[in-house]
Amino acid sequence: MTRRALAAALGAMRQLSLAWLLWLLNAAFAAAIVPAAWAWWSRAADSPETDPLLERFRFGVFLELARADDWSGLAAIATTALAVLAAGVAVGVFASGGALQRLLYPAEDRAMAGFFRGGGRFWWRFLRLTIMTGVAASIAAVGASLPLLLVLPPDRALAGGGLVGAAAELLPAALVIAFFCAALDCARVRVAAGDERGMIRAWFGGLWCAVRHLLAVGALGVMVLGIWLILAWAYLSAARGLAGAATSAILLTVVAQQLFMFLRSALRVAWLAGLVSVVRSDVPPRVSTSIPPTAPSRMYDTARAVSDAEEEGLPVV
Amino acid sequence: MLSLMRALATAAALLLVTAIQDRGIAPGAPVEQPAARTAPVVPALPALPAAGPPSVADYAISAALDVNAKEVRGRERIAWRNPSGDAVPDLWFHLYLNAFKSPGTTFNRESGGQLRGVSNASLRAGRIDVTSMRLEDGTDLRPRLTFERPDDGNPDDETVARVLLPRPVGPGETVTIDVEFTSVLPQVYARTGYAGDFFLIGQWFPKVAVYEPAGTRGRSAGGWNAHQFHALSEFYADFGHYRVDITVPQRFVVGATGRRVSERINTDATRTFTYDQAGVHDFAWTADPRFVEVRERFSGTADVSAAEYAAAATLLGRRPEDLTLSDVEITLLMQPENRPQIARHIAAAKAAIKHFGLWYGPYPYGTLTIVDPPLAGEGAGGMEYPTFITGGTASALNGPPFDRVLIPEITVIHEFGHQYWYGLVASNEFEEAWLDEGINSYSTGKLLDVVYPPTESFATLFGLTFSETEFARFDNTRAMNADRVRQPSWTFLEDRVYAYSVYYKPELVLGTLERMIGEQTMARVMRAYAERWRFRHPNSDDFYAVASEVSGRDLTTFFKQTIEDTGVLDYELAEIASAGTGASRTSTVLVRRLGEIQVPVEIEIRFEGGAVERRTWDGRDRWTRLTFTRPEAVESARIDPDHTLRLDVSWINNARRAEPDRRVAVKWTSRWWFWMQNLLSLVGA
Repeated sequence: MTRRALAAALGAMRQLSLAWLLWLLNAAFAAAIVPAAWAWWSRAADSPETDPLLERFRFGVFLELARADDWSGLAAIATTALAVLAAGVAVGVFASGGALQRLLYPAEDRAMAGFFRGGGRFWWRFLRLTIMTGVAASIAAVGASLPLLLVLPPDRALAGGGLVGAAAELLPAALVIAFFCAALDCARVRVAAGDERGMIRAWFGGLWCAVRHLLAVGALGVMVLGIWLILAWAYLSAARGLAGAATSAILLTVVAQQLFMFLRSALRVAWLAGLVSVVRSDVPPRVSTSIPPTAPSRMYDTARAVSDAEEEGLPVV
Repeated sequence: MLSLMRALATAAALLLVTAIQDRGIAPGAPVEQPAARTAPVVPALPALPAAGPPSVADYAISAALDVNAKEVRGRERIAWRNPSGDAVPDLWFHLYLNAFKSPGTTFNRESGGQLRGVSNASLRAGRIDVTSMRLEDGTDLRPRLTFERPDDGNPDDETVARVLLPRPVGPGETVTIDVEFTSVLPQVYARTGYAGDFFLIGQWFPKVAVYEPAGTRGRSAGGWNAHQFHALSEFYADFGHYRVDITVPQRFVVGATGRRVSERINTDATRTFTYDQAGVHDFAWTADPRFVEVRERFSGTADVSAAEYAAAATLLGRRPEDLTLSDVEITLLMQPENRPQIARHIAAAKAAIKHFGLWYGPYPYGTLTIVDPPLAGEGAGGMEYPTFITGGTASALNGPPFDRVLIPEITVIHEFGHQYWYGLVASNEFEEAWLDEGINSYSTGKLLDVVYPPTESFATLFGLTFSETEFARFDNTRAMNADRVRQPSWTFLEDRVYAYSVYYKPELVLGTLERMIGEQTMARVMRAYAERWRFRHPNSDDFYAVASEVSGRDLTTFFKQTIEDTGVLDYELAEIASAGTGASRTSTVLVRRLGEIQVPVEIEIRFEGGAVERRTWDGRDRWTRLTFTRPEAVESARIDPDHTLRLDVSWINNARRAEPDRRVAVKWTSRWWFWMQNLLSLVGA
């Protein structure tokens, strides 16, 4: 199971069109803050006093800029960012639906149409799952931290405080939240694969799936996290190498940033594909109403899904 | 985050316990006397120390801490010498613990029951009961004791008391009185009180106010200067010699003002420590069984190199041997959880003793005690008393990534700086708080820039640096200049304006002055002021006079503009224009003064091809237009290119390019877009 999940995830990283789509959606949505940010930073264009910002971030110069417009510009940007983030939850739910539609039923629609059809079809169900997960994960994270809270005397930090102490203190809560996030995606895959309508049942099914396949889901998570760390390290190295005031360095940094975001989208696709492979063993595939393709799909999983289902004695139409 | 949650949980538990314990003193209600119980024995008074200059009020005090009732029972003998040529008919006292007595006190009315963000809601109140007051000959003065409200007439305030003497104290005469008192300690939120077994005991005994002879601080006639305890003020008192016996249960670790001269174990499982210090104007002490006691010695020879003495001598125009520093016994009382920060605290204390000693004269006392309050007692943090200061830190700063956030160092250095600006140069913090907080903030900033790289003198976090100057400039806006720097502490618009006006604006004013008259001249100004007014009570005019005299320039106008007015300093590079070509090209640079403060400024003009020219403008008019006839066009121009004018409210508008350069905008807008994408990926997944 674990090997199959990892192989599915790695195979899905080649689905560039889906990764492009996720990147594009994310980039376009995040661009909502660009006009306000551009207007704010453009005030630096006239004053050589801001030149140190070309080399690196200087808090003092930043504060001078902020005070120069009485913080109103920053307040507008912060408000915009918060609004984008709030809407980003809903958009993320939509993107998850679209991605799963493309992964589970690659032959049903053209890529773009399938993505948007899936996003719309599963949006409301996925949103409910997300809210349930948010509530449950918050409670569980506090619960996981409580023993530490009660055991440690007041005023004392683990391991002498600092980064190690803080990391150790946060670890239980972080692990709990990671588990619930994995369970949420398992539930989403179950809903999309089985067209489930009862969200409470689907949510508990996701939890059960994450527990039952803890090894496979965990291995998948470690692999995705590992690749993400490598990408982050590569990006930071590149950004450090490109630090400087030259226009070419600034533009190359922008390219590196977007490349990083694109690869991060590909990782999201890989993670979902891996989970699809895991969940498939639990849930019968939904009956498709579309005309089967006349030629073998380029997608990795259709044939395998059929053969898996047949092996397990499930009806395949 | 969990540390924060734990702190919140602890605070909630403390509040709950406190609410149960709270005696609930209502405004105007009669104050209960403490219930009869087995009280700790207050040992006999130590002998009154011999008076020596500078001594106006000498104290012999015996105090016993009741750790269960959170009270101090004490008796004291005060010898007050009339420093004036007047016959003084009365004595005025500070009873500052009464500031915490009821919601109606002036302190509570002004503060809304909070200080530095720590609230006293549901915390136990505090007060001081004077149970006996007699002259040396036994005359009972208690019936003659009345409460005075010189600042606001608030009938609920009992922080200043006056006793009419049977006969006036003649010029140079000394009157001796014996007082018995009980100090009911508040739960600590404003400098003094208790938190569990931690005790920080300040403003805890009846203390004589300052009688200012004619001529002191500009007075035309002698008189008492006694102010009520205000929310936005610290203290003012007269010099004296203190000998204090402190009795506590044996398990407690104790620290106090002055040198510990003896220690004895009593038969009732208590210990009595005796402390002695001359030439100070207050006495504070602390007790906590959890303290980790660290002793370290600052050596005037081993900790200061010959090169450092030589550099200071050159700066001040003195001989190195005239600057020799004395040894100081440093006692650090640390909370156990903050043990990893012991070396940081000691290093900061040694740096402060060394540099302030070299700059402003040797630290004259043999001891320095630094107290690290626990988290629950954070309201006691960041405070100064003679030879005794409290730090301010948290265990989160023990290691990476916060170990380069210099809050503990800055706190120790700043509070030690008060040994000069409050301790030795004893200005009146009620009326002119900038003379200690402001001058001390300037001194702190200078020291930080010497000890740490100037760009990192406040914090380095995740590779980002923040300097002390940038921190000081944070509130430097037109709106924050709502009050004058020199005005009584309780008359400021709000806390933030007070903090800016009294701490940061004077730091920026003096930083600007230093760059205007030169570092060496400024160093000599500060040295002369510190020496001339050591063990005395100066006012702002005295500082202005020393600065003008030493610099050889009349600086009165500068101080009137910056310290005694609400105007701001703001110059703007308004426009760069060019006409013609080749040798007939004429370029103009328009410079405007937007603020009210007028100081000379330097303007740097950069031309295409790399040529640079500097001009000076006296800044008296509202604007000036500089004209240049040369073949190269002006590329950019900058007012105050060396950042001399620390007080300028905006450095951004000090410079302008002929053509805009959008690289900063591209770089940082794209980065913010990138961060937004990452955040969206996080919440959207």
